[in-house]
Amino acid sequence: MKLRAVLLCCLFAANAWAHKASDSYLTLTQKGSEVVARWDIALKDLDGELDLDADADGKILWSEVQARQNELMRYAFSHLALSQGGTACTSRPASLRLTHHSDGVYAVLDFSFACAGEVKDVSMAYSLLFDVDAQHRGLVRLAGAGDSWVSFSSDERTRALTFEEVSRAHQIWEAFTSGVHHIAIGADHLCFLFALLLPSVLRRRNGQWESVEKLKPALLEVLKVVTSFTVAHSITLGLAAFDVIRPEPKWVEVAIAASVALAALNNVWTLLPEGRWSLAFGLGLLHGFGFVNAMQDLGAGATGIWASVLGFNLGVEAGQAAIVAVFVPIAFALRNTKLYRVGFFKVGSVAILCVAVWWVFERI
Amino acid sequence: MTRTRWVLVGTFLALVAVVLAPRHATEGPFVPASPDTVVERVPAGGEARRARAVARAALASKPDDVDAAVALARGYVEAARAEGNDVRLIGRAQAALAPWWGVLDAPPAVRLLRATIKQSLHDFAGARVDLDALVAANAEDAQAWLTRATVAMVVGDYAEAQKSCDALSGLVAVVCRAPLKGLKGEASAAAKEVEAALSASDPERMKAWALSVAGELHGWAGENKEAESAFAQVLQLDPADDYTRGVWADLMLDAGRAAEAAKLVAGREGNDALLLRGCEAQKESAACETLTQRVAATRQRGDVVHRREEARYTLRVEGDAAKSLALAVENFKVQREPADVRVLLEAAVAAKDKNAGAVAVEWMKRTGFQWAPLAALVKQLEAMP
Repeated sequence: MKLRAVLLCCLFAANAWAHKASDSYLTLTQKGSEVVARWDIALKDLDGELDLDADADGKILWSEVQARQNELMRYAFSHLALSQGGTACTSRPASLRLTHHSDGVYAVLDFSFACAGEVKDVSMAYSLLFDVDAQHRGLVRLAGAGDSWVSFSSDERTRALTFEEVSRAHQIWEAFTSGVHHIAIGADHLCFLFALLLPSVLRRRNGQWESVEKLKPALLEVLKVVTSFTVAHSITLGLAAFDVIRPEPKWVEVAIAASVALAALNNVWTLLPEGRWSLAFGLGLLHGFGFVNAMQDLGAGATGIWASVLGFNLGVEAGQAAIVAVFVPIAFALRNTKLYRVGFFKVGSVAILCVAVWWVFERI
Repeated sequence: MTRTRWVLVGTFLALVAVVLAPRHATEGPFVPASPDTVVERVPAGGEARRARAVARAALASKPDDVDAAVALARGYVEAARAEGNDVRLIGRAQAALAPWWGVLDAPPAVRLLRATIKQSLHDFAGARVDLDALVAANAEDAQAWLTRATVAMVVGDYAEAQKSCDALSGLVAVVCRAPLKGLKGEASAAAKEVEAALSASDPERMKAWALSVAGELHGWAGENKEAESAFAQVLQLDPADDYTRGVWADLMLDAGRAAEAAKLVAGREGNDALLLRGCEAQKESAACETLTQRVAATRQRGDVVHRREEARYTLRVEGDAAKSLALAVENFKVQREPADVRVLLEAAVAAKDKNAGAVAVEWMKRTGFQWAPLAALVKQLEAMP
């Protein structure tokens, strides 16, 4: 009798505040006859169903997740269905990324549903994990309809959802802010920009760097550099966004790091004395591919993708313009000082070069 | 250089610092740089995990087999306990019993597990229905009596808790009765009784449980040295006992030993209660940031089962006395352990609401419970106009 009592003992222990329960987060955005979706599912939960930790060492590696990507998608999509007017919408998986939530790392599934006709009132059936975890919830958010979440539980697996109209202007604005945000947080982009801007108040003469006399040529130089960069990344971002070319993200990241190194190296050891705009153009082509990953957060569907590309590019431009507006006047004022010529220009370029080279090795 | 130039240099450096400052790592989705990146940690594949996989396969092949379902559910409940009361595992235990979950007259083994799961989900009334039925059908069912005693004690039904403990025998009975004695203001004597009843031959889990109870009783009596020695032994026997770890951290926090408390809970932040203690120990720490996100996620989910800790978080971390008091009042309607009394009194004092705290003061007087932090709060509340 006593022994049996011990089996499930620990009187008080059961009342401790526990771990967070299992939730998945699904965000749906209506774009014409498509519903663009982002679905975050905890790796812990997927591990319970798919044994992601193949070698059972307690560590899930990114390679272990990638190896099971197809199964993972199949598993998730077999538990989610959307229909409009009795006709099922077809899902098209796009990519797999990761993100942090308060209770661990989640898989991020970016995909879209293609429905028959303009999407408005849909019926959604959600059954992820309910058969194995009765406390699981599916928290669904409809973008454009405030920040309200609809909850699916094992007792409530089917619900009717209504999308509110999202205006084109709103879509462009969202993409614009995302573009600005990308400039503000993208360390590699900023390093690249500084590597190109640092020499803008100087010029090369007889193998020596000299200060420019007037602000105007300096500004003209900056304008040429920034514009050619913008034109270039707009081209590749457009091509990638419309799925014309989609290079491997890993190598894009490596190439971007290498391009930053190249731009910085050009300041220290001149490879291209004139026409830095051509360098900016060539490297801008690369950076455009890099923006595609950032733009995926917008979940742009095929019908409205031009609006997102436009908004995002404008946002990137605005972000760059803001930095130029602060940087160039200061650099111009300081251009004759030793501090600028050595401290900022030389040391700054070498520092960027070092960081960029380190990135190259880190990303390979 | 002129002064203007220095200003320009300063502005420039500030600009560079701002744009190159390290960014928060949790921002936005990402693709890991290398395939070898460890992206998540899960319990390593031990014996218990393999056994659960076998049990799961057994149930999958015979979905109507109640023994297979009970075996799997029990494995999950055990794992939930071993891994710090993980609700993910409790939910899995519940799902394993799905065909019998709503069946009133389910087999006893199902009812016992169902009661334990409901208790973990703070459905104390639901748990009581099953436990009452179990002991009515079999007065020898020690586990049912013990769980019944726990549930009765949590909700403040001391007469039924006493009755349940009296149905037990041996060390289990002594440990079961000890908190009831402690609640009457005799915590020190109760702790000593538990320690006297322990013998070297008791199984480790039994010993850990008894020492945890004794330690908490010593704490109530203000015997911190004895309490800490008991807690240390418990954690040596069972490092995953997050409840004991939390009680010990509270004792340290009360004594103003925040650094020690932070160290004690470090590495076990998966448990929300310990994350809260970690945040209280080090304000503005990473623990606080994670905690804020986790509380937001839990609120988004719509759960109300953890009101005690949420009330404490709202008061001690967010500093919102009125909101905390509302949560503490709701919590007290369901749970009446000393920790529930405490958060209600703290919130009532902070919100300067003597009326709202009256039920807690009444509880203190009726039970005769003595614990220094609570006595001080009662005094403060009574001094209010």
